[in-house]
Amino acid sequence: MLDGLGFTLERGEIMGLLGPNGAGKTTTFLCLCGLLRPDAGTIWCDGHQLGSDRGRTISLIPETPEVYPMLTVWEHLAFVARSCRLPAGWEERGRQLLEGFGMMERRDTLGQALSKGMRQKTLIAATVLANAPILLLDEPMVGLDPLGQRELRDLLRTLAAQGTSIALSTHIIESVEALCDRLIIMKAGVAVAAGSIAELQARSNGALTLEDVFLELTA
Amino acid sequence: MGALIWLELMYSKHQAIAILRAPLRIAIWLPYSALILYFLYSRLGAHHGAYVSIAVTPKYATTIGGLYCAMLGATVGFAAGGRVALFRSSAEAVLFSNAGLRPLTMAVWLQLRKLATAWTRWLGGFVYLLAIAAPRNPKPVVLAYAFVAIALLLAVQMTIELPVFLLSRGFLREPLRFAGWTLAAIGGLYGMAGIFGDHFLEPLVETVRVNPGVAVLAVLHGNPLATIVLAIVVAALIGSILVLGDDALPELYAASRNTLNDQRRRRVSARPRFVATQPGDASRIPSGALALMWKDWLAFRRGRGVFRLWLIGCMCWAVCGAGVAYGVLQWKDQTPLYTLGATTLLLVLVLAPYSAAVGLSGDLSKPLFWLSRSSLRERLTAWTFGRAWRGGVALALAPLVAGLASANVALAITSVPVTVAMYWSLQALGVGLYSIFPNPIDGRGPIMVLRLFATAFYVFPAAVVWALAVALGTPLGSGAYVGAIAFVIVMGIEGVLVIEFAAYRFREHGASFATASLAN
Repeated sequence: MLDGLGFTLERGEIMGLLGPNGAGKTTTFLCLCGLLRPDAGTIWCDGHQLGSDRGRTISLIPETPEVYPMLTVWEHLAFVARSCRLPAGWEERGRQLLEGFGMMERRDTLGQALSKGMRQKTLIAATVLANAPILLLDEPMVGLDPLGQRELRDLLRTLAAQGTSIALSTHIIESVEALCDRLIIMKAGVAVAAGSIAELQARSNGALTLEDVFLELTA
Repeated sequence: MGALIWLELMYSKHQAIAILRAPLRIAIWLPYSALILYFLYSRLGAHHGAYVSIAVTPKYATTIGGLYCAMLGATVGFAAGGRVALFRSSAEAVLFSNAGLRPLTMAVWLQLRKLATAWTRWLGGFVYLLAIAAPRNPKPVVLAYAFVAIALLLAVQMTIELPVFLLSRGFLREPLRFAGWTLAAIGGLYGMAGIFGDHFLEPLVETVRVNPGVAVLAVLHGNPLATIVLAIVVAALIGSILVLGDDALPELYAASRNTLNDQRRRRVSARPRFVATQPGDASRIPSGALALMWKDWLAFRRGRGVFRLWLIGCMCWAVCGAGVAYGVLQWKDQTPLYTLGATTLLLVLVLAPYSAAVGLSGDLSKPLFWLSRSSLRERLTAWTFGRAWRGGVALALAPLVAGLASANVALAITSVPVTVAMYWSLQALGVGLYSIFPNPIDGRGPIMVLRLFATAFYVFPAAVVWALAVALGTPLGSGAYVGAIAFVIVMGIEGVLVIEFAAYRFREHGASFATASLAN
């Protein structure tokens, strides 16, 4: 259950949604991308109120990134390009994305043979290709090895630098510290604090680390 | 034993609490119960007016008896082969063992629990069966005997597994397996013979000199002797555990673990694996919602064994069509043909919508499905077409071959469009029903009955329009063609409407549906 949650995500910003299990992080994301209907509230993007088809603008990469097992990596991009009716020339952009994500060698690998990290990259590449300006990642670091985590962090920073707005939910504090410009700490469906890491530390009662701040606010 | 009963009561209590938290699920039982009560009222009170019943003729009794023997034989065969899952999980076996329970107590408990669970689950089914199959206007004592006898028949099926398994630990393993599978084969033959009537039944009964239908009629007519014999058999099967069940825990644990692991492996291996083929030219991929059809085409082309399975299905339906043509041309009594035809149609009407419901949840859980610029209605329409053509074409081969083989030109020409349209429309209905009942558990129980009624209600307008069109077109010499066109149009309109309804239901609820369908 979410209650009175409101926030702004700037262009090119990486925002973290931090909270214990059951805080409402995934529910927030499902409402944002249009897969759950909120009882009340509105979502705006670039001055336009988004409707029920906001999944085209706000794309969610779930904790278990589901790809089509029968399509290759490149065919995922082709599928999105054709179903979104992208203009000619998307192939070049698709190639650039795969090269940028280090996925060119896996271009003709079927979805069923991809690791979790590769499935995440495939979905992110397809989402970026579809020009979705906002990307939500639900617990993206869970199940990734240290190298995969670093690659994903680098990738998200690159996308943010290119103008994609990113929100990620997690309860792994290290990944938030390494990646996020701003944080919202949630507890039982309510935002209990928001701001940069430095701001949150300054506001707390002498907490030295983000972990201390988090435990103090969610205890 | 007291601790085990307490544990089971706690389990039942939590199940009841879970049900009470969703009162709608209880409300769904109301029309189901009302239907059974109506059947009972009309059957048992000798009332006039609407009257629903199945007259269990000796032929049908033979079919029922044969199929029962086949199931009993299969249970014996599997149990003798070590395929039993009496524990609900490996963890349960460990829990019971750690609790210091005697192996004999555990074995008796497993036997009694299985019986109690089956009786509770099938109680409504017994009443329903009695309501439609008992002799009309019976005396209460006859009805009571029949009810008990039906319950005991199920009890035999449920309690035979454990004694057979325990006996098969020694030298009796192979003889019991052989006996079980022989019984299953003979029972299956009786089942078929009952369906095909006098052509096969009489020679079979003359050869084997036993007819299981006699026992079925005795049970349904409340024969006290039949009830007493069944009660003795059940008591013996339960009592045998006291002799055979001591020191059986290791085998029971291993068999349950292996069977549960096998079930899990089968579920995993049932998911198709894909083999990469040469990537196609991306410019040839259709745009918009039609890209979903391309995706499904790739699944069909690349799924290991999928194409072969489809070809086998096509051949089976073609053989069925040839069989129908043979029966039409050669048999004087065509009742078996009508019985089989009606049963097959009923199966298609039930299974086609359900298969669509099972498949859609996979797509709803994929982020890329929601990225498309096409409307949800267009995507669902394309999705149903992408899946329906395969089943529709395979199914259409039956009437097509029947028409060609019996020189029925109208049947041959109309078979493909009518069958494919019907199959697509049924898939659309499946999507619509899925948007109301997304949980896989709704494939059974009272909701399955509701689904059946919804399907009948859905097909009814098309059938009526078809009949009217045939009647109007016959004087012009084109009744079959006009009827087929009318049928296709009505099914098409219904399909479009039901997809619109489903799209309305899915909008902003995609995650809920994908989650609900993953439950259980």
